[in-house]
Amino acid sequence: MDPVFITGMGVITSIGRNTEENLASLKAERTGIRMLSTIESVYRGILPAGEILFSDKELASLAEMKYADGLSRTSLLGMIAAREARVNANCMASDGNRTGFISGSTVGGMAATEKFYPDYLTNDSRNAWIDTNESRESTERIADLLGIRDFVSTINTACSSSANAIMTGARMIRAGMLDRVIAGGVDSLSMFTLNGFNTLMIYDKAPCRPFDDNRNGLNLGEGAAYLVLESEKSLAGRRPLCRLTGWGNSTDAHHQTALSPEGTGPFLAMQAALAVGGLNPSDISYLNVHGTATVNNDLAEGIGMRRLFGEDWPLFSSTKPFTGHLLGASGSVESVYSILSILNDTAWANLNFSTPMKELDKSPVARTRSGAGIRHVMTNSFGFGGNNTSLIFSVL
Amino acid sequence: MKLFINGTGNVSAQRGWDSISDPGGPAGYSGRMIRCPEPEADTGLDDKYIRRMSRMIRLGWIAARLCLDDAGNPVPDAIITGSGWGSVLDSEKFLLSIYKNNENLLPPTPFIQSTHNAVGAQVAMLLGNCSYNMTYAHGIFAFEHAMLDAMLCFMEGGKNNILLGGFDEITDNQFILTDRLGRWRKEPVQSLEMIDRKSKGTVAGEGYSFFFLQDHPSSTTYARLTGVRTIYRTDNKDDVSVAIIKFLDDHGLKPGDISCIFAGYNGDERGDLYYGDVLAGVFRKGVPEARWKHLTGDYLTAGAFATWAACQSIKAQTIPASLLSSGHPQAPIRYILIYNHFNCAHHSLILISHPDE
Repeated sequence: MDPVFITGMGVITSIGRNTEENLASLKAERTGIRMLSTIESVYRGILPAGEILFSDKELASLAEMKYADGLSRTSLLGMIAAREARVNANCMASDGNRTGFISGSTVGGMAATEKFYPDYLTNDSRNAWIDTNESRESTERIADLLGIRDFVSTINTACSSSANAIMTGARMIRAGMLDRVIAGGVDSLSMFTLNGFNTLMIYDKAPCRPFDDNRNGLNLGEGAAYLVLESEKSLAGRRPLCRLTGWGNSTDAHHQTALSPEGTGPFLAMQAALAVGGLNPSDISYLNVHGTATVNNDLAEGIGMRRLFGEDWPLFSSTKPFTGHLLGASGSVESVYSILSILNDTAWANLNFSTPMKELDKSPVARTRSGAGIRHVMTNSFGFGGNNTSLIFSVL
Repeated sequence: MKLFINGTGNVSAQRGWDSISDPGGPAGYSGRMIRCPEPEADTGLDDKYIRRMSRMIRLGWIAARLCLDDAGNPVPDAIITGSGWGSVLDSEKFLLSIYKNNENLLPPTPFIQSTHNAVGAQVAMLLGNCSYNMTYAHGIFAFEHAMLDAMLCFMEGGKNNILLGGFDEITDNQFILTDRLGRWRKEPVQSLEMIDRKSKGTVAGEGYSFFFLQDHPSSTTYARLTGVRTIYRTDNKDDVSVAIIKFLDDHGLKPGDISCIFAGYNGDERGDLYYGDVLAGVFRKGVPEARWKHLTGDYLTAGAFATWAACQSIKAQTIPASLLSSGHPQAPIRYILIYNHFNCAHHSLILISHPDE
């Protein structure tokens, strides 16, 4: 099997505008979750979230873009992360390698749509924004900025979207369809998703507590992250960061928004990823769990982990108390954190943890732990419709 | 490796292949938008469940069900879908409820069903199927990339029974939005005449098509899925012509091997001229041409309906007069090439062939 290498990454979240800042926050156990303060919503000051405090205009300057109508927050966040990834990988779009761009997003340009929708329906004043309503729109803006044309695609499987984008990129490289793929995803915070999770009664009014017996729901966040995936051919002597060795996807086939009590989907996805990587459960040194902190997710994920790992669990933690649940971007952001875990030989803290879940009697890594001997990191991403994806990153 | 299309299911503005192949049979519509009439097919589900489903999920499920029945009810080991717009109606409903109720006491169901993968997920749930499940959402490439993923699954091995779907829905509000972008006709038109009476813009449509792909032919085989390719952002006609010739060459074919081309003519002056020029650059000696969008209106996953029509044509070994616009395909019908473009900027190619080829 031809290896798939990771040569670059870029990320922006509420804990940092690039990889270096995110790493510093992870090391310092510094959360980005605070009461909503900038989004236009009745929940401002009431619900906590991982809001990125830059305005769209400030994001445009970070992205080195001239701010204009139709340039959505979703596109801007994506541009910042994708450009960082490409610079980090030190590769050019025009070096003769067949290059793809695959982006995942749950609500795409919704942050703009929800502001202007009444205008869209009644007048022409916001026509420059209408196209951002289509999920492909931000993908195309980012691809065009990077000068990528060989293959451009968008995936929407809700909260597993960007993990699936990374998986698809890896599969296309292994099949010889492409030499290099920039893959990941983006979601910006919206009134639409805040209200959606709030009305499902799974939004915690306090900072979220994944894998804690007293967990009471998730907090949302916003962000973007992209990885540069490469074949041996396109590496051309450059030193990669790590390898992407395993990937797997399955469906829970239980409920549109809840996982099965048997943890079937999570179990099958993790098992499939190990099979692709030719790895055993005991090879996994650290598992970055999906860990949204909803009652249902953490229990089903934990039961899936018990089915896979038996009693001998790897170190595990959810980084969502740092960033909030980033929906379509969570898979790629947590992939960056998984790679940082390998590069820094560190398992990240599961903030806000105090009491093990009584059904599992297992504790996540409560404080950031370095010198953990990390070689293979698995990261889980689960989405609406019971869509489950696991990825495995490995040392070189 | 050969992929066979062993089942199809289709919900569209047309009642079925019989009405399309019967001269004078196709349903015509007057207006700027064509919606699918409610299908008569049995859903196999109880009414209470059906009422809770959004229209998109219901019609998607019916198309998937028809496809599975057609293929003899094999068990899928992957469910792969594509939708350009996704769950438009549910997204609208939830958004409008937010405004109306000032972010308070909202019905959650439209939110739950608002993501592009809602249909693929519901199909998996109703089948109790825990296999690989993926949804592509990239505009005019959504269905084609789902198809590409299906081919990738076969190449990797292990997944030899794939349920593939492409669908989009149109709503009154979505029509208003996209109308502001100049996509649709300003005046109502008779749909069956929309391609011949060219003007600016086209007629909005919708449709749901599913296919069952297997690594072996069966008693229900329609055709082979031979290839798919998307071409991102170029308006240069010569480049597209060259890309089509290269695509054919990669499958060991010359332009003269194509029995008929299904082109995405939609009555938009500029776009239709573009089709003509690109095809003239590929098929120097001409080629029999068929079109389909006058039967369905135009939508981002219209390539899925064209794939369905190509499968039916190959199985029947005839291209119905309602589709054929020029030339006379030589028997046997061996290869059908589907060429579709969006705004003369993004292009997709699908190659469907006779199962013996």
